[in-house]
Amino acid sequence: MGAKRLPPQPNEWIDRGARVNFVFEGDDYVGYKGDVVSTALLANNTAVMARSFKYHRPRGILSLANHDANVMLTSGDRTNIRADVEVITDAGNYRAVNTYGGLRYDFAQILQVFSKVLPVGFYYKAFYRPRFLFPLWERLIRTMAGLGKVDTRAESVRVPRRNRFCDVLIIGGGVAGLAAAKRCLAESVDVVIVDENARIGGTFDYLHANDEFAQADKHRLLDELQNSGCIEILTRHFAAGYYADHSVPLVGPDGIVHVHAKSVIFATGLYEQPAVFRNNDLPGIMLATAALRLVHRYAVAPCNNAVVLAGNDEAYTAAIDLHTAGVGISAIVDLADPHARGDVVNAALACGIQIIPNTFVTDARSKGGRLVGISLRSKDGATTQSLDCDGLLMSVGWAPAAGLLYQAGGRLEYDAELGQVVPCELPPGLVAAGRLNGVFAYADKVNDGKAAAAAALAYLGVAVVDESRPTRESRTHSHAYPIAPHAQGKDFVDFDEDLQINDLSVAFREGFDSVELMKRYSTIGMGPSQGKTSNMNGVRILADLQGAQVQAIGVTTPRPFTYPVEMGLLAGRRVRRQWCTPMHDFHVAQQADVQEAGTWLRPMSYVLGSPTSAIEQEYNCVRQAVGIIDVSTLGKIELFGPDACVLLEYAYTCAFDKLKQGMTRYIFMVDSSGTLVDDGVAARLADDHFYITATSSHAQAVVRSLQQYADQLGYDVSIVDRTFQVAALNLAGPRSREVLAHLTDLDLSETGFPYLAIREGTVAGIQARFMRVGFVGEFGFEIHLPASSGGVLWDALLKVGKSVGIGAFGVEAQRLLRLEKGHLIFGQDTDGTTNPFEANLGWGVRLSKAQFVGKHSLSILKPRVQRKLVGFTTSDDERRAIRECHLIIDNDAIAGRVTSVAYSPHCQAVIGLAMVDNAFTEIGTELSIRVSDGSSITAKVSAPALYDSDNSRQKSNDALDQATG
Amino acid sequence: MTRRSPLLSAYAASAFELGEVYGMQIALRATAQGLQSNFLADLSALRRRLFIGAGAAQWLDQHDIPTPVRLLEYTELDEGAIIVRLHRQQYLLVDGVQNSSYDALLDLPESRDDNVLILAHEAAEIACGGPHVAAVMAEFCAMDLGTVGENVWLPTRFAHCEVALRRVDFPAHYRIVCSPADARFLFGVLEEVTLERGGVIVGFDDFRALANWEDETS
Repeated sequence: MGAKRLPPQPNEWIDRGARVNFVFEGDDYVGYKGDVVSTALLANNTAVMARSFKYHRPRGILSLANHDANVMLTSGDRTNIRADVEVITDAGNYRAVNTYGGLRYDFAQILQVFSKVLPVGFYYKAFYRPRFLFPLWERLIRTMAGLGKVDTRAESVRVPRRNRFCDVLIIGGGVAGLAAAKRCLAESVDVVIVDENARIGGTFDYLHANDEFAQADKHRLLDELQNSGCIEILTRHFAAGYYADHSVPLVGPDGIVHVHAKSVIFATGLYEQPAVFRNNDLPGIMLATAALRLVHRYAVAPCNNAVVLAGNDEAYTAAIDLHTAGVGISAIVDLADPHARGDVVNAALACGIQIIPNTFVTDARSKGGRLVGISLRSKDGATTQSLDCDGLLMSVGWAPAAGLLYQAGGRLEYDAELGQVVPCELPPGLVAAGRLNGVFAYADKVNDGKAAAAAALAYLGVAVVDESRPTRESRTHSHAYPIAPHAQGKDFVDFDEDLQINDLSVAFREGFDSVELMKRYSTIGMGPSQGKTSNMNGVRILADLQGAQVQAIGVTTPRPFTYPVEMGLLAGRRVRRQWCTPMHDFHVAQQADVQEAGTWLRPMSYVLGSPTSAIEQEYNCVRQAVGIIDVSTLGKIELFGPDACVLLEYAYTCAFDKLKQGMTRYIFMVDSSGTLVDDGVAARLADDHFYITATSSHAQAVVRSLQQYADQLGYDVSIVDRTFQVAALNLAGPRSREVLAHLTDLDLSETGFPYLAIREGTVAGIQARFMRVGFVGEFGFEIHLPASSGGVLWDALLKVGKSVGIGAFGVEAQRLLRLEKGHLIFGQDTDGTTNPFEANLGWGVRLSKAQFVGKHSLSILKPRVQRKLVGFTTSDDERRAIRECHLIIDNDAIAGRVTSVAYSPHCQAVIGLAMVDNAFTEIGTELSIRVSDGSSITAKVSAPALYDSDNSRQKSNDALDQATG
Repeated sequence: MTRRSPLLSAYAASAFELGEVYGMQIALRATAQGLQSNFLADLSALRRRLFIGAGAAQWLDQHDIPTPVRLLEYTELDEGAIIVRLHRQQYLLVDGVQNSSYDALLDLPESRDDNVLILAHEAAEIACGGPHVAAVMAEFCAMDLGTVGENVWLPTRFAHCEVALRRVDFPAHYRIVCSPADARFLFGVLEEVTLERGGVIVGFDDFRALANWEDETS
């Protein structure tokens, strides 16, 4: 019998009155409430809990603190569950990830045999020849790579996320963190303490478990803090990263708490580091703190007969502690001379523990995947020996949990005396405390916590008495090189990726000789545990390879997140902002095909059936009778004030001085480089009052630009963005006047309401603005009215227009209609480099104006136009293969690209717009369009407008009126 | 009715009595609910007028509307109505939920009076209150609302939307004013959280009753 449940421990976290049944790898297990999967398995003497990533080696507990990723599980639709922190439940049914044929008989363990031919970067070197085999290898590697399988059928979850504001955030609820919290309590500031464990207390529970004074302190502290009512304690939450303005997301089982703190105290402690020797990953070999956590928190003896590998004094304390708890400790193998360690050595000897000085562990032996013994070699190499044991507990050194400090912009340096990286310069408002800060003794940690709190309070402007900070220890707690390379390898540095010493040596020999390059080539520290238990040894090995000091090597910056975060938690409630137009409900009621167009939801088409027939039906409706389209997405801007006109003169290329009150005009805007950015319509309502529209996707940018120009130039003008407040619809088609006349008493006659005029009046009892403009090449009206009335008017128009065959048309039909008319869509027919002269909009540029945005650039560009937007047609109906962005090729060179294309019912041909080089702009010129399958289609250049080219239909429908009476 | 609440369809799934408030079709009543739980109400029917131009402050003053001096602050008027200074030359008059004394101004058509432009200001307004309102707000607002002073009209981002927030003390709740385009999305998000916390969705009249009750007992 190896591991077993111990008698009750004073601080244990389990509830022995509540038994929990769970399943692991198909077998039934029993644990206690409060157990995590790792402890419950080990209490049942199951040490092999998972398989490693690359060689599928058996793995078990290493840190029992989630600092490693040795044991990752799948249960139901969740995967990569960390066994160190997953609390068992009766519904739990777990399997190890990354096995083929189950944990026990994983056939992929055969890979260990080939480990010599699978060095770091093997796939870069081995599989690129012969080339035809690469897809095969790629498939195989992709199958083998990765941990866990995502169940895409899993039920989606919506998880809350909240913001929390506080004065002080304390990360780490250990000795220093709690001392800091208590100090803050005295000043009545708002404090949040976060700890990744199920309970706060940190090392109180295991490193100081037998210290009566510390335990009494702990109970007092917890009582005080938990009953204070002004300190929020978040357990089972970890600080995932550090972001600007002291913003720290705390990830917990039920969601993310986004803390915005004024000051942050980092009391994150240290990660215990493993030693490196052959087979150092066998189940049964673990960190000494893991064994202490097992005993004190979960009352589980990690083994029956343990050896402690000592690189520091803590090893002796741990050995004595475990011995006292009833764990058999047969020997302490000390990497150094124990004489310098003081009283702990005698105390260990008094417990009957053998001490083997100046000796390395060189190898570990296993049976059935579990540790059964170790081989030792004295430091001078003179003696070797073998010990039988079922547990090896490593206590050889520490590395700071400083990832968040690095992310916060803190500077850390290697303290050679202490043998540890410590903070040396932190941004304002950030303070480090405790072992992270290089203090180890209990009293020092308490005092350091208090001093950190005082510093944080002072930063907040609270008048506090300075607390003196304890002196950082000068005695090392980490062995300088706890690494014993083995000729036969399997001396693992990074357990996540099965990286051995030789892998790092290979990377170094191949030129990846800096810490950053080695990380990326060898992938050390890039696995799920992010180097928490491997980076420090990696740095030591690199220093050795370089023949340099550790402090000269540097460290890599751990990136967020501290631990992997479930995608569901990141997604939160999975909210996705979508804008609905005022007529949205009506579109849905008409069973429109509503799709996202940017943030807006817009109806693409209405008529049920195939999309093509729907578009043609809507097209016919507009061309032959009357159609109605929701254009509420257009930007709508009100400009009011004495400088309204001069602002428009400055912001747009055209002239406004001749725009009469009650009239509109087409406008477009360029940036300072002369590139087209937006277009719309400007209406003059009074000398000092304009109403303009902008494109749907650019409305907010236009408002910002106008406001910016007004502020820069000190113009007296009020700018109001009314995009969301005003509904807009376009009534288009030869019978539009007839329909509108039913609902308004406005004079809609050609003389009363001419082309390009704007009128204010009522429609269906609603106050509205009417513009005689159109986009689709038909007589029509654009009606703007309060958003809350948009649906009412939509409904009313459809009712009164029924007798003349009115129909709603969507974005798709509109695109086709405007293409026949040759109207361009900004962002589709133009791109981020198109100027007005290229887009045939030179007529709208008044270079004689004194000043406007882009004037200088346009003056230069005008004589240098190299390409133009042209229309094209191809008579071949079957050739609908042409798509936007297909290239126009001339002698294997690109001569242009298609910007819009569609089949035109009017032309009975495929028509389009293309931006082509000057040589191809003559009407009738043949264009060779290369389509997706690589073939070419010949098209002929035409005028952009192939419908209503003289504007007669758009301007007036008097002829129709007369014909229909 | 010539107006329709942008949130009308959000109430469609529940058995609400629909009706008219200031010409807008809106959900009025479900069942009478107390203030014991969180609540969410559509108050989009409240009328709003925007007064723009160099003479706007003076014009409002002549109509006995005391305008706030500072930007993004509001002055409380009778019966819960407020006047907000949105911009240097822009003032927003918002109706209260009780019968208003400002009908003459709030019913003005879009027009201009000399150098003052009067526009209807269309928005969705949501009332969110109850014992857990701070937690609900904290889920979507990355601002410390506890530090926001009295009579502050707070433009901020809330659940990815640009909104204006204000805190109302009787009954204790927040008003979330957003664009009609965002209304359905935002209400849906808030509805999920409110119901999750055992809250209720109430109609305009339900809310008005709560406000009356609170007024009488405060």
